[in-house]
Amino acid sequence: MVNPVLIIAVPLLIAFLMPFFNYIHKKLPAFLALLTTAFNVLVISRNFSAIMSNPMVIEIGGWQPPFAINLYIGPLALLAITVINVVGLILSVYNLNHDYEINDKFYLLFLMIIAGASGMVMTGDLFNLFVFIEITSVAAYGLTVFNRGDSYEAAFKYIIIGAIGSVFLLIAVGFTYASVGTLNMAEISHLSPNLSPNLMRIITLLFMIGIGIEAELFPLNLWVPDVYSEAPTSVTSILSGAVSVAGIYALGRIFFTLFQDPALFSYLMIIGVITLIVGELVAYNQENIKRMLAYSSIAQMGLIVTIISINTSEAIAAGLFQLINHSILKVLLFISAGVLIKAAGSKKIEELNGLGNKKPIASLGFSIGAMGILGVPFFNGFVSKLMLINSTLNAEKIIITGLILFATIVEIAYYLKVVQKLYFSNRDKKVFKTANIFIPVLVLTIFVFALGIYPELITNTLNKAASELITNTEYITNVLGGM
Amino acid sequence: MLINYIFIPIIAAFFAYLLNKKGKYIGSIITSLISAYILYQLIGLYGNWSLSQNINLSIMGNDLQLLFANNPLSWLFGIMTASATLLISIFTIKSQENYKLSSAFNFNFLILFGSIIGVVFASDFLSLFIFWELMTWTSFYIISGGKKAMAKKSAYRYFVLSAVGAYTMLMAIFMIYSQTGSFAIAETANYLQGISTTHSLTLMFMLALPFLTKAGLFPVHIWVKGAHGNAPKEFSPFLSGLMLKVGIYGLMVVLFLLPFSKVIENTLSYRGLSVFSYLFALLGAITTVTGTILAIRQEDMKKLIAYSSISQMGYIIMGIAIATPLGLTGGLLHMMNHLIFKSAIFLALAAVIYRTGTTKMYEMGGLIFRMPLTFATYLTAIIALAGIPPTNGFISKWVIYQALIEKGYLFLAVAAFFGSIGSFMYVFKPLSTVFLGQLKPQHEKIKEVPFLMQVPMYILMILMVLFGVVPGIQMSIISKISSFVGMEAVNYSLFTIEGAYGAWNSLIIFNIFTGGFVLSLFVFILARKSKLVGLLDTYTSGEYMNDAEAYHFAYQYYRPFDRMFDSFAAKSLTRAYESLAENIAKIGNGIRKTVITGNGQSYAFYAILFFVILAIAGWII
Amino acid sequence: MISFLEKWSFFGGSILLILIGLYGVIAKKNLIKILIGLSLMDTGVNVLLVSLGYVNGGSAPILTSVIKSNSGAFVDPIPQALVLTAIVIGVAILALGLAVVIRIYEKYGTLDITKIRGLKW
Repeated sequence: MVNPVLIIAVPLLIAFLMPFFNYIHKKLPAFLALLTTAFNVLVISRNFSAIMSNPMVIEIGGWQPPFAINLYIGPLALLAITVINVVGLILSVYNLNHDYEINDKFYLLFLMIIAGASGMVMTGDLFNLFVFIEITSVAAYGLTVFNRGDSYEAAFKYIIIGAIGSVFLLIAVGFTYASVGTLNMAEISHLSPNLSPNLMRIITLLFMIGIGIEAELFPLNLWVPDVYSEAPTSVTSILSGAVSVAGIYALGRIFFTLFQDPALFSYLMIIGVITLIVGELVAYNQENIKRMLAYSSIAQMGLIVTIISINTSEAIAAGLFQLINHSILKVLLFISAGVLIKAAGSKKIEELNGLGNKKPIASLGFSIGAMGILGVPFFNGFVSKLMLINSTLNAEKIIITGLILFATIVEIAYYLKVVQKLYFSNRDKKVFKTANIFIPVLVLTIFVFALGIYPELITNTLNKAASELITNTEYITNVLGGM
Repeated sequence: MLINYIFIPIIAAFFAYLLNKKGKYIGSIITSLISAYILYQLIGLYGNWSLSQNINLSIMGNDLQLLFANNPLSWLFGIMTASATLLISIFTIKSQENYKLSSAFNFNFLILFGSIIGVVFASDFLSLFIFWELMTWTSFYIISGGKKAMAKKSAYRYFVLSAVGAYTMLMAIFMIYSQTGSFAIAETANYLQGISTTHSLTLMFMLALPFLTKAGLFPVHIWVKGAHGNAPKEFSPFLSGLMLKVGIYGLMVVLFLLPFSKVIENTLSYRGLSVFSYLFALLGAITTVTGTILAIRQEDMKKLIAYSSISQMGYIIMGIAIATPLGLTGGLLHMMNHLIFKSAIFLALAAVIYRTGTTKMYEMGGLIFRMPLTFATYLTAIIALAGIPPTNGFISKWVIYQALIEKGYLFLAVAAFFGSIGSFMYVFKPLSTVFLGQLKPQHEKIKEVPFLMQVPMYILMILMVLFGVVPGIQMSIISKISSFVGMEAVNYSLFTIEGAYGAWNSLIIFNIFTGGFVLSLFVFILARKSKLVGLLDTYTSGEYMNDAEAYHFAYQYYRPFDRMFDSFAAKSLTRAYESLAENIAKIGNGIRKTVITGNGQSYAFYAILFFVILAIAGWII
Repeated sequence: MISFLEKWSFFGGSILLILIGLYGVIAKKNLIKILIGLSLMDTGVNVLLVSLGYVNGGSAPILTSVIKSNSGAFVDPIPQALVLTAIVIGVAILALGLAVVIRIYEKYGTLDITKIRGLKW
């Protein structure tokens, strides 16, 4: 039984020692990043069954909650952490042979962002959440500028919006402390029914703005297209695959565990639907492929938030499944798109024609990712889509279902244009050399089909995670021990 | 065991893809072998009407059962699918030797075959939907691989239109599931009879929408022309012959297995048939008329035949929707016959395209001198399509006319007659412009198609005449289907069918025709032969003839007829759909230009504004 | 009046600081001024947090030889811990932002945000 604190501690340690390792040998940072993420995945797999039967509470420093900071890892956190670290592992493999110039400081920030996202998910204390959100954000600001060129502008916009978000978050933490008197999540959820509803509403709104910037809700997500299209490919993948998972987790904790206010769920649903529709409609007109994928990411996040805000157990399970599928598929899409862009020499979709024969692995990866998101049978997106529709119709929300299906049709429109261009056009322009991405694409494709054909692999975990999110009594008793 | 028939082609598809990269013929050979095997197995299933199979899954604590069952309707469609696949794959062994994407074609074709078997044998809506989606995706990829410039765009339109229908059905399926807890067709039928009429009618229309789209009925017929005209030439027969029929299968499931007639017992009726069934028949009539008029105007032979296909679909729907024994029999007969003669027409045209390289009819002419077998196939097929005895097309059309007149549906009968006359006009046009007339100089050297491509054409010709002479073969399975859907069967025997006003005895007619044919053959042999002269070797008052084009009347063949309907054809439904899509795209563009301006400060401002609005809203509410 | 001012001046002042900083971020065109506005916002929030923990008549929360136990005369120490962390985070973001501004100046030659609009729509 390895202590899960190592999931946060070891990457941070190795990250700050990176310049030293770089001095020893130039190639060492890449391999060390790979080893660290592999170590993380190993720790998680060791603790997997133990956490599934009994959520784990770890007190930092030996002090008892609610006076101390504790980590809480239940099935939901376990799911999120697995996704974050497996995505990190796959991207470390991808970083070994890559298309762009990176140096040791890239790996420093990369490990930091993984540690930050993992910490965001595992923590049980509100201020610790704030600190980890800031670690993740600062690492993301730094990682964005690694691509020279337009990425400075994107990073600056990200910094402005992110800093405003952190101000809102800090005000929310302050107000919470002033009204409840504690910062421990379990204690807050125990005491929050005593608050006046207006105050709770304002605090939840402030939190929503602060965390919504990480979780990409409209209109707080306008930094996403710029950053995703200008950052290097593995940065985009880790932001889209790992940080958004952590953002949705934090949003879920605020809305379900800490402050349960039924009226706010309808706000969340409306915001989610608006994000979904705006994301899909704007993605249809794009010429730049990475920007198109960024808008598709935003739309999927909106979809997940809409589903989760329906507040029934099967809806939350469906939303979590969609989140996991989205991470896998988006990483696949972004990696393939990165190779295709390098091969064509330009980011415009018009330039990508005919690459199906020249770059078969990347084109196949892109097609599998696109078909997964659209919901072709026997892919993982199909199963989660069916579960989504089942849960929304069970909750009698017919208009929402209609809007989700309309959004899917718009998605079909813009993804199919790219797939057709890749395979069924001729190419007479030059094709540049690119890196070999066979192993990441293979591993991700195996995940896609395994979850699509045999979803019972994770349904048990999903059910437990969903039930943990809905009722917060178990959370309170586990941490406070019946105080 | 039914599941094997679905998954064997799907797994074989991967092998076909990989092996086809080695040698160009291997993929088609594998397809032919697999379809022959499955055809053989399916023939063995005849009579085994209680065979069924379940797959049990358990997702998220819900138990799902995917049911597959064998019944006469599914059996007929399975046989039709397997035989069509077999014929086309034999044809493609030779005709795809220069086709760059033949590996992808065979891969997708095998998966398509497996998924159509899955669709017709499925006994619950979820498995129907799964295989329906697979079918749409693979046919999309095949159509995109066509050589013409518009192939990608037509495939894209086909897919989006199909997707709208498919997702409507998905919503209806899950709405029913949330109330009944099961996907099976039988349970759905029980549920639909128990709820209010408006509710169940809405659900049934939602369920029927993808089938209407796939069958190419008005107003969702706009994908047909593009998909047929631009698909690879070997796939057009399959599209027209089989995939439109899968839509008909779905409509039969909705109309008969979820008893449409029982649900709408107490609604309005027109001459004994409820208004909603009549609506379907009316759509069929409009489709027939529209398809005929638009077909006559076409210059591209594949697009002409595409419009002809949808007008024949209109016939079939008219027969099926009026829900009488004769109507059902006529519709099903016409469906089977249409598969045979339309595939023959398309294969003949594909052979012509294979040799000449063009699809425009005014660029060809006089090919009877060089490709006589193709000519014979085409001639037999258009005789069947026009409905002339002793071919099978006559029998099915005769039964449908009887059914319409028996109940007194005047408008439908007039539409059917118009379609029949018009159909002869438009099939005569390719015959005369492509095969008859003068041979163009650039086509002097072409030969008949290779033997492997001739085999399917022989088989189809024999079938057309055989089913015309011995209709009992088809009637045996159709009577089983009639009793399966709860309608009484039409009396028949090996050579006769009993209609509303008298019986049709094909043996007598066949004898008369053979007698007449032999007589005229004698006259032809004993008479003087005509003398062939060169095209340009004529007297023209001193002018020299250089232009062979001027001697071949092919362009705008039916101009006076077209002029009558110019204003009708100018209102294009395609443009209506296109403008709808453009408006949706404009909304997206508008949002883009106003909100996402690239100004980082306005993004921050939106965040603050968002907070203020929500805070005020939260305070008030 | 004085007691009102005593009670509310901290909150009011911090909110005022936040609003001034916000104005700087949203309305100013020079990149450096935007960052200064950001820094003002951080400072305002920190003042807000510290003032939330004020107890009337309390002193610094350090056990000395004079005051031996937590007899209720201490100011709340938790917000002060929060503020320490928040100040550090604010400094880090400011430093990163300034580094990015230096790169922008090298690339575009101007510090005017309206001229740097390559990525839109």
